Amino acid sequence: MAAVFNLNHHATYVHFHIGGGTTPFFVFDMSLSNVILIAVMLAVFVAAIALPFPHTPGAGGQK
Amino acid sequence: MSVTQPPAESSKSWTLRVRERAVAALPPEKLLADKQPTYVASWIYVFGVLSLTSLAVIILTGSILTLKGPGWWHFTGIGHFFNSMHLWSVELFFFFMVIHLWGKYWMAAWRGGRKRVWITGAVTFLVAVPCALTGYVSQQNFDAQWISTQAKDAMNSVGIGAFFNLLNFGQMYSYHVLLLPVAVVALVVIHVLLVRKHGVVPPFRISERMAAFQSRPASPADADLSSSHEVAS
Repeated sequence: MAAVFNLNHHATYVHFHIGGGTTPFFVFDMSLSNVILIAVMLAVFVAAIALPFPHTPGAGGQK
Repeated sequence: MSVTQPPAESSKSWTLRVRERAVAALPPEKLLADKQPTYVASWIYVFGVLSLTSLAVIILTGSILTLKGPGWWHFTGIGHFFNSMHLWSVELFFFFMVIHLWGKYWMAAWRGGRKRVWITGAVTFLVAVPCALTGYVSQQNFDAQWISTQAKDAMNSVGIGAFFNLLNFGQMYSYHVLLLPVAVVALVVIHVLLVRKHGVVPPFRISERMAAFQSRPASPADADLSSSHEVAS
C-alpha cells in the first residue's frame, strides 16, 4: 500500500458533531480510510443483493 | 457356569452410541449435501464461504510465519510476502464476515430453529476481534508497540488488563498463535456443521410459502414440488 499511497503523514479524519459547547450531543470522528472502507462494504452489500446471480446449468432459477 | 447377558442397550460400546447419535444428528446426505435450494443462487449467500476461504489462507500463512519467525518475516522478501498475505487475508476475512453478518441479520437468520447457528456465528466474530488484535501487537515492530500501548488503556479501563496484558509479548503471542485461533476454528467448525444440519435460512417470502405449503393437506404432487426447489451444488 505504501508503494501506491504516501502514508508518511498524519491520518485524515472525518469529524462532525451535533450540539456545541464542551459536551456535544453527538460526535462522529473516524479516519477517512475507515469511512471509505465502510462505504465500500455497504456498496458491496447492496450489489450482492441487487445483482443477478449467474444461473446454474439445469437449474430453474429463483422462481 | 452361566453368564448373564446385559440388556441390549447397555451392551453397545460408547463408540457405537456416539456414532449413532452423530449420524442421527447429522446424516451424511446433510453433512455432504450435493444439492442446495434454488434461493441460495444469490451473491449474498457467497460471503460465508468467502469468509471460510480467507480463514483458510490466514491459517496457512500464519502457520508458515510461526515456523519461520520474526527475523524471516521482517528481513526477507519471501517473508514480507507471507506477512502481507497474512495481513490482507485477515482484512478480507473481516470484510467478508461483516457483509455476511449484515446479510444474515437482515435475513433474520435465526429463524426456523437456527438460533445456535446465529449465536456461533456472532461469537466467532467477537472472538476473531481479539485474535486480530493480538496479531497486530505480535508484529515485533513500532506499529505493534504503538497499538499495544494504546490498547492497554482500553483493557485497563474495563478491568481486564491484569489478565490480558498487551505489553506482555509472550502472552499476546500465545493467545495469537494458539488459544484464539483454536477457538475461532472450533467455533467455525460448529457453525458450519449447524448450517449443514439446519440448512441455509430461506428468504422471508419463500419461508412464508413453505409454511403455507406445509400446513395444507398432503397430496401426491408434493414430492415433485419439493424436489423442484433444489439444484445441484
